[in-house]
Formats: sequence, C-alpha cells, structure tokens
Amino acid sequence: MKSAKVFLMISVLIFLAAQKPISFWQKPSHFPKPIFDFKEKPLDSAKVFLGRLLFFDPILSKDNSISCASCHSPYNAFAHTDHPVSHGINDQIGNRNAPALFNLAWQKLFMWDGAINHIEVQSLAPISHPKEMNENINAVLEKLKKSNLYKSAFKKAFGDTIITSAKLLKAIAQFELTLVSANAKYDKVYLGKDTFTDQEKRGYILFKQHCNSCHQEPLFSSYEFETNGLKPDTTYNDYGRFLMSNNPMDSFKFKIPSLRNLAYTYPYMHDGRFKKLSEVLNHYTNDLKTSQKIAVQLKGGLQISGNDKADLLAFLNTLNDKTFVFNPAYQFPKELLQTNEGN
Amino acid sequence: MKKFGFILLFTYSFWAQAQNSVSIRFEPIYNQFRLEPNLIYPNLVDSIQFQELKFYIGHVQLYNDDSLVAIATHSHYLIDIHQNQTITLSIPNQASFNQLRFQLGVDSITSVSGALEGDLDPSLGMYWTWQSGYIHSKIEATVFGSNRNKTQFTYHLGGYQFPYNSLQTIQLGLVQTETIKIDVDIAAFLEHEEVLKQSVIMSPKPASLVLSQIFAHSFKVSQK
Ligand code: HEC
Ligand code: HEC
Repeated sequence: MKSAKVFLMISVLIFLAAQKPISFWQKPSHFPKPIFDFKEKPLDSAKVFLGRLLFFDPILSKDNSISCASCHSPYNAFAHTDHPVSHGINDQIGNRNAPALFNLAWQKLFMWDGAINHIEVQSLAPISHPKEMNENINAVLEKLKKSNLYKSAFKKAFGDTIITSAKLLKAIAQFELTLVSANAKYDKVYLGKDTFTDQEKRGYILFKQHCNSCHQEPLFSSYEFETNGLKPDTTYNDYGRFLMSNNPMDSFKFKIPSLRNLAYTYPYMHDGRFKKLSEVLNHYTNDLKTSQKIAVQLKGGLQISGNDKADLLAFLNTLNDKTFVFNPAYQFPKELLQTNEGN
Repeated sequence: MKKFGFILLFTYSFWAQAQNSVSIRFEPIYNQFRLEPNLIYPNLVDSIQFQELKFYIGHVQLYNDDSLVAIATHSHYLIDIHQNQTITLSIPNQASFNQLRFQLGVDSITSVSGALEGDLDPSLGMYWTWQSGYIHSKIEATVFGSNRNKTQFTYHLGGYQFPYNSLQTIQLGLVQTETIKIDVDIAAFLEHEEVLKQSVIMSPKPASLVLSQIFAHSFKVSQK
C-alpha cells in the first residue's frame, strides 16, 4: 500500500517535470508582468537555439551578406553604433537608427512608430525591406531547406523537418525574448545588493523629477509614443507614429526608448542625431522648441544646472548592464562557422 | 482500457453517423464567366486580364434563422483564383439552415496573434511586412483600352485597426442544399465609380475601407 503511494507520487512528479517547459526565462522579480504571454507560448531551449542561429546568419538576406546582427550587435546591446541610420544590403542607407533589443517581452508595439504589433511578425519587416535584407521569405525557406544544420535544428525545435515561415518567425522571436537586461548596478541597488554613491543618489532624484514620466523605471520606458521636442529632420521628413495612426496628434511622436545600456547604444534618437549623452541633456535643457508639438512635461525646456547634469549622467551610468552585453548565450553561435566551411 | 476504447469507438461511430456535410465554394466570376488567371475577358469597349485575385473568408457559419447550426473547421480560408478551394462543414443530421454568415477579412484578434500557420501563413503574399496586418483582398488586373492603352489596377485592401478596420461581415439567405456556390462578381466591383477613382491602393486608409465595403457586395448565392 505504502509502496503504491510512493510509486504514485513519483510518477506524478515525473509527469509534472515532463509537462513543465524548460524555463530558463525568469521574470526579474522587480519587473512588472510582461506583455508577451509566456503561458500560451512558453520558451523552449531548442527553439531559442534555432532562433539564435537565424539571428546571426546572413542566409536571411538576398546576397547572404547581412544578418540581423549586422544591425543589432550583441556588443552594442543589439543596437548599431557605426551609423546614425541603419546600413543594409549593398550599403544602402535606411532612414532610422537601429534600436537596441532587450526587454522586448514588455513591449506592446515595435519599431519607432509602432508599425508592428507582435514580436513574431517583426522579422518579416527587415527580411523583405529592399534597403535592409531585400529577400523574399519563401526564398529564405528554400535556402534553409537545403541546409543540414537547419534541417536538424528545425527538427529539434519543432519535432519535424518541415520548414515553414511561421516556425522560422517564432524561433527568431523566442531568441529575442531571452534578451532580458535586468542586472545593472541600478537593479542590484533596487534589490538591496549594492548601494548608490552620493552623486548617483542625487542623479536618481533628478531622474525621477525630470525623466521618469516617460522613461519609467524599472524598464526605463513606458513604451508609449511621445514627442520630446526634437526639431523635425528635413532629410527624412519622418512623421513617426502619425504614419501608422493617421492621427495628426501623433505627428513627430516616436516610441520612448529605454535608458538602459546607453553606454553601448549610441548614437541616440530615432535618427541617431546625437553621439553623446551630454548632447542629449543639452537638448532637453537648451533647444526645446516652444511649439505645440511637444509633451507638456517638457514645455519651455528642463531646468537642470551643469552640476546636476553630471549627477544625472552618473545615475544613467548605473543603468549599463555589462552582464547582458557579454552574456555568452547571446553571442554568435559557432555552429554557423561549420556550415560556412561546408559541413 | 479495452472497455474505454470500445465506448470511444461507439460514440465516435454514433457521432459520425449523425453528421451531414455541406460544402461551400466561393467562385470569382467576371460577368457570367468563371474567372481564371491570365485569361483575357472581353468587355464592352475594352478587355481585362487578372493576375491576382485572392481574398480571406473567415468564421464561416451556417444558421437557421438566428440559431447557429454549424461552424467551418478552420477560422480562415484563402480563396485564390490560382487554386481550387472548397470549404466543408459538418451539420447534425436533419438539421436545417437558411442562412450563411462569414467575414471578408481577418479579424483584429487574429491580426495581433503573431506568426500563424496554414492559410494565414505570412509567406502567402497576403501579409504587409512593413507593418502588421493582413491584406484581406488582393486584386491585380490589367485593362486593355480600345485605343491600345493599358491600365494596371492594384488593390491591396485591409486594415484591422480603428478608424480603418476594413473587416466586413456578410449574411446571405439561401435555400438548403449540400453544395453551396457563392459567386463573387468582380465586374460589378471594378465598374463601381468609387473603385474607378483610383488604380492603386496598398495600405489601410479611407479608400481601402470604402472599397472593402463595395467588394463585400459582390458576394451572391449562385442561382445556377
Ligand atoms: C539594415 C539594418 C537592419 C537589419 C539587417 C535588421 N534590422 Fe532590426 N531594425 C533596424 C531598424 C532601422 C529598426 C527600426 C525600424 C523602424 O522603426 O522603422 C529595427 C527595429 C527592429 C526591432 C524593433 C525594436 C523596437 O524596440 O521596436 C526588432 C525586434 C528588430 N529590429 C529585430 C531584427 C531582426 C530579428 C532582424 C533579422 C531578421 C533585424 N532586425 C534585421 C535595422 C535593421
Ligand atoms: C515627454 C516624455 C519624455 C521625457 C520627460 C523625457 N524623454 Fe527622453 N525621450 C523621449 C522620446 C519620445 C524619445 C525618442 C525621441 C526620438 O527619437 O524622436 C527620447 C529619447 C531619449 C534618449 C535617446 C535614447 C536612445 O536610445 O536613442 C535619451 C538618452 C533620453 N531620451 C534621455 C532623457 C532624459 C535623461 C530625460 C530627463 C532629463 C528625458 N529623456 C526625458 C521622451 C521623453
């Protein structure tokens, strides 16, 4: 009788263990509930690995020259630092700065203007964009079907070797969802494992006073659309959110970027117009146009003295997450080298 | 275990017996002709050739007055002149119906659900890649004028968000049969004055909404 009970318990445990998806994704305890529904679409290590292969593989572009990582490099917190606006296939220049990629599970809309409504369909945009990867998704699938590496990676991830666009898109999204940045000095202080210097403390107070309404902690963005008073650039004439909503109230509004990892993600703003953070702060204090097209909090410009700016910068520096940038799980997968060498 | 299997088999055969199937075909036509890709259709003064005609039919349901009788297996079907597609529904034995309800387009919940499979696969040329959402109807045709000029019509209709939610709900009364044929007469659509006003639509906007409403009126139960 007793042994039957023990047997039952063990089998229930085995059953539960088998049911539970391999969950190496954990919500940082101080972060809000993510927007992405991990219950409905749990992360799976084989899918994440397939997604990582695809993310770093130029096979997604027409002439096999450009990968996602060409514009979203792990060492730049998955942003692009060489150019103010992105460089794609045949050195063509886009019209927006490649944003850093992290904490994507907390975002409802993607792109600077919110054109994309779900992380899984985002990759379709760069793959088909004539100035980015300029490839047709069906041609990508044909290339993948010829590769032994991908045949086995799709099999491991999805249980069969049938390669479809939905599987490809889901896998890339799975890899991107693992990109969680929550281990900066700020986070350690928040969790009681470290302390701010006096200067960082003063900077934190200034941050809460001037910036937190848009760049909300702990993600350092509300991911809403706002206008922070940048002069509309005349080269690209980019109306931002208006392009999607057709609502005149939305002209020149862009998605508020997170202030995490700024040390790695320069240049700044949707068109990459500022190279340094000091220029960004000078923008907020000096050159805010007193036009209608600016958020109320910023009307007339912010009053921040030179010393205060130094304190604010010291605080922003506590948002740089080195363990995120150098996390080995996010780097170029060496398995790709083998295929390139003909195995 | 054996017993259980038996019961399962029994209920299944009982259930299977108690079903009748109804098949529905959506057939694009040009005036009275069945539409085929790349054939040239004569008109009064000019002629027309279709390169693409594809549209999404969603949430296909049969009703008897106001009570639901049957729902199609898949949420969405892509109807394409390059392919033959029949939608089959199972209805309970002896059930009657007198109405067909469906949507033209892809509803907003489906539109925000990420990467989907089957007829909703984004590689089927019906997904706007630079922004999220499906093209619900793709109509591409060349009109050859009497004076040998050519006009290209390209309509990519869609949009799932306010104020350009272009989803259309269609209800058609019908007489019960095992095979239902729905004619989609594209001639009436193309000759509509609002449609003639523009030759290219490629994004959700007011014109896309207006043309979606007009296209929805092209669906009629075939009398043949
Ligand atoms: C040629 C450079 C380039 C390539 C290649 C590229 N991207 Fe991007 N990416 C950008 C730019 C520029 C944006 C911003 C676009 C916009 O706002 O319209 C962006 C935006 C994004 C976003 C939205 C981020 C946010 O915060 O809204 C994600 C996610 C993303 N890219 C992932 C990818 C993936 C996955 C690939 C490979 C399939 C890829 N990118 C390839 C330049 C590139
Ligand atoms: C009214 C909302 C709002 C407030 C308040 C605000 N910002 Fe911003 N911030 C934005 C928006 C919107 C952008 C993106 C603008 C664009 O690219 O067009 C932005 C961009 C930035 C960027 C560029 C980030 C990147 O990755 O490109 C930095 C840095 C920045 N803000 C810092 C601050 C600081 C520091 C404060 C407080 C002194 C502050 N912001 C206050 C809305 C705001």
